[in-house]
Amino acid sequence: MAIRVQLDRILLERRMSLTELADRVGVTLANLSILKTGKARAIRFTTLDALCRELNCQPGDLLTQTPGPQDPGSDEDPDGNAPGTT
Amino acid sequence: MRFPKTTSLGIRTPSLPRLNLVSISSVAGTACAVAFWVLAIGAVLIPSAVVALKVFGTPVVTAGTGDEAIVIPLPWAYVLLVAIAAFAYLATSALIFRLLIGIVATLRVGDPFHPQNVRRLHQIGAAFATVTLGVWAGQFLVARFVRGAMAAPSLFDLITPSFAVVIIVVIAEVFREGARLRRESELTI
Repeated sequence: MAIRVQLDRILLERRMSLTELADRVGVTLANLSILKTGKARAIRFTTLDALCRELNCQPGDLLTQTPGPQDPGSDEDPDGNAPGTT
Repeated sequence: MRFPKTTSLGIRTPSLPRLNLVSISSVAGTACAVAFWVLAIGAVLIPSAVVALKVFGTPVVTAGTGDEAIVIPLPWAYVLLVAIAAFAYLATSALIFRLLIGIVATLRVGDPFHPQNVRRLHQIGAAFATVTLGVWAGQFLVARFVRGAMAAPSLFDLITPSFAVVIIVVIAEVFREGARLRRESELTI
C-alpha cells in the first residue's frame, strides 16, 4: 500500500500511547495496531475524523503517499484500476 | 383514495411465524445432521449386511429367463462390488452433509463468507460429481454384465447433475469473493 499512516511520529510528538489513543478514539487497540503497521486496507472518515480530533492534527499530517510499486495482493487489475472502477 | 373496509366475518387466522435466518439455519443444520448420521450409519451397516448375507445366507442370482433360467449362488465378486458401491455412495453422501454442517455452522454465527466455506463448497461439488459419475458407471456396468437387471443409463442422464455441479462451483467462487470482501471489511478501520 503506497499510503502510509504516520501514527508513530504523531504519537511521539503528542506524548501519547497507542492504548490511550485507542480509548479516546473508540477503536480497539488491535485495529489501531493494524492501522499503525500499515496493514489496513481502508479507513472510515469517522475514524479519521476522531484521530485528527484527538491528535489535534490534519489528515495530511497523518496520511502520506509514497510513490512506488504496489504491494502484492493489491485489488487493482493489471491496468491499475480498482475493482468496479474504470 | 380510501377503500371501503371489508368485513372480517369474525374469523381470526393464526399468524404464521416469520422464519428468520437463525430459524432457517437451525432447521437446515438439524436436517443435515440427521441426514449425515443416517448415511454414515448406513454406510457401515448396509455393506456389512450384504457381506453377512453372503457369509451366513445363500444369496442366489437367476441367470436366463423362462425354462432355461438357472439359479446360481451369487458370486463373491458381485457381493463385494455391491458392498463397496453401497459404502462409496453412502459415505460420499455423508461427506457432503458433513461439509454442509460446517457451512451451516458458520451461517449460525453470522460469518458465512469464511475462506473455509470456499474449500467446502468445492469439495461438495467434487463429491457430488463423484457420486453422480459413480452411480452412472455402476448402472452401466450392471446393465452391461447382468442381463435384464436394468436398462443402460444414457449420457443425457448426466446433464442435470452437471448443471448442479456447475452451480455449486459458481456459488463457491461467489463465496470466495465474499470472503475477500469480508477480509477487506475487517481491515477497514
